[in-house]
Amino acid sequence: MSVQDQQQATIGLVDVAHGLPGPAIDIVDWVQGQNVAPTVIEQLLENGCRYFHDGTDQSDAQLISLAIDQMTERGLNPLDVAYVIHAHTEAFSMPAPPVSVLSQLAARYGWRTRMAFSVGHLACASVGNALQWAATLLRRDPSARYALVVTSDRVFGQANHRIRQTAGIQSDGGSALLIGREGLRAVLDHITVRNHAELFDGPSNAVNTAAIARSAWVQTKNLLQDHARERGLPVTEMGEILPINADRPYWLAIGKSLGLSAEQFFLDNIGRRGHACCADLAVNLVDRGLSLLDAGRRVVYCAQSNVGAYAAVAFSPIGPVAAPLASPQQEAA
Amino acid sequence: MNLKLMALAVDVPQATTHQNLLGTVASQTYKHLFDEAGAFSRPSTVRRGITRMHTDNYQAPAWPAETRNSAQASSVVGLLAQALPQAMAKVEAILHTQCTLDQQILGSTCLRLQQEHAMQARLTQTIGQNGTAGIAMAMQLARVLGEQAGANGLTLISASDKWMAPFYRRVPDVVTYGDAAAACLVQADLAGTGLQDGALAVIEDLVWHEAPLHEGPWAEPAAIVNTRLVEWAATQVRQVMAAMPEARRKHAVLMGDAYSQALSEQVAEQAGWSGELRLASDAGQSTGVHLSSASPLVALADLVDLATQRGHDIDAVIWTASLSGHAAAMRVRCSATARRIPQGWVSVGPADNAPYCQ
Repeated sequence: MSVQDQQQATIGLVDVAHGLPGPAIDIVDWVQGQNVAPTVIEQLLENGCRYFHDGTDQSDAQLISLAIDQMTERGLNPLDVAYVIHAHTEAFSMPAPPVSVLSQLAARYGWRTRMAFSVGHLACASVGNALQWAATLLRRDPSARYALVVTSDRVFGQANHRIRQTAGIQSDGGSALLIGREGLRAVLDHITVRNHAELFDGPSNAVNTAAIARSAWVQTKNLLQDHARERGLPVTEMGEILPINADRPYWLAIGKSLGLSAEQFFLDNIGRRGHACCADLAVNLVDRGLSLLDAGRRVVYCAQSNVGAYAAVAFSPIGPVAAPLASPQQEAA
Repeated sequence: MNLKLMALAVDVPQATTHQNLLGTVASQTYKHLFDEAGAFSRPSTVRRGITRMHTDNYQAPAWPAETRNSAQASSVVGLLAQALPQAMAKVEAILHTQCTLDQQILGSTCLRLQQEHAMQARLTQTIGQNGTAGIAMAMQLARVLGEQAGANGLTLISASDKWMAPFYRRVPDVVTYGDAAAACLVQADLAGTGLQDGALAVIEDLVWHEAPLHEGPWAEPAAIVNTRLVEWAATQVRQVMAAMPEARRKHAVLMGDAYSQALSEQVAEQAGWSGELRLASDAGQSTGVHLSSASPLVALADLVDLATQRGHDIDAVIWTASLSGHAAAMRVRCSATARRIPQGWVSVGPADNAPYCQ
């Protein structure tokens, strides 16, 4: 490719992998001996939660490496990585300052990056912001082959931190998304980020927690509407939504308010994988998104948060977009 | 592309006496770091439950236990907002950097800055994992944003760190970290006008490097850690010097992170620096206290002060080398006509009528 071709080339997803440690753990078995009310477990199960991954014995660099190692086994040369952008939700998910997970990864893979940094304080929307940087940095640097977005999140604390209210179980996990111009699996399409900065202090007190509970669903709904509008598509045609892997009732309520069927949301991983924060994007692409993209369908990652940060990231197929599937109601009619 | 600085403020608290190698102790803060998962997020030499490691008295600037890092970041940005309210209303991006954590672990510092000072910002992020050298990364990202936004796009860059147990405030014979915050407003110098249209400083060159590293400075002998720091910093300074016109090089001032006076001198020597060397003590700062992520901006504020005192613009190279393995050097031209504000500087001219505000 000429330099001009490189600058104008489509930026997209070259490879994706997740690092969910160990076998999935059944919350029903795990909860024995934990100080958790049986009613909480009942509610979790009712809300589609069941399995999660525990990486308490692994560092952030190790969790990320679980994902990157898959890419190197598939042929990635680490020296082709020009930019590394890390994202995380859990503030504690990093080595003790001043140590950096990025230097630890550089030591493991031997890459020589032109820039490496972490995007944080935007909870699960951080990974959307990181992908935006990946695309921006590649577009302005035709000599760079790849930008690698990596994520790591770990749960700290007892069972009450593993369990996210009554509709989510937190998993530990890392992930990697390789972004480039050649050998694409999908086009990295439009990214919408929104910040409602008034929620900056998160659920640190009862007032904030109530404000988040009151506003999060409508802010997510607005995000999806804005995202569709920015892409010039009806909400129904922007593709299957890959939400974070928690809060099933919430996603169904948003779907209903937007006139979307439950089938437009991929909710299976809420039960199978648990919510590994920023890694959910890679987890859901691997488990669902890539097969949809290969079949010519669009997908949209959607992240909300408890600090007012939101992100929607669209991936489109490389070839022509397939006609939308008829909804069950339409088929019945 | 150069970056023009339009405003700069620093907040270094009073030095207090410490007898703990670890940071400030606040009850219940970071208690999750003593859970099993926390083993990978606290220093490998700090056992579970330990918040104090006794040492002889030493001095370092520190905020009170109850003072939050994010509050201090907001406070120093507030100084800029007070001096240039109209400029603050035109900030398009916020890039906050910190090496440490906020004691209210669920909060977001960058979003706090947006909420309290620049609601209109379209991009707001905390940029991390560059150790104490995050400002250099933020400057590079601001340059990228400047290319996209054009000459009117202002980026707010801030840094703040508060060292709390179980993280080390002091690693003997290597570093003593002070709590500190700093912030600046930067803008792309697309027209290449440099200091001519009133900027208080122009960043003319910036190099950055990441070294591979697994562990913290507590895990190795001090001599090895210091040798490595000198090499990282000197390499960056040499690179910036190589791109600097010879005539300007010999009159330039070198300033860097305040590890120790000996280390600053070694960096200058290894880099082959022929100009002036300015130490933290020359700037009236505590000797041997590294002001964490704010360090490069504190140095910059001092160099602007120096230019105004001498009555002529000065060329300077500011280096930063983090114990994370991230190092950078910036070539900066500092204006002799910058206007002083409380704890900082703004570009010359009426506060809100400078060209960058149009």
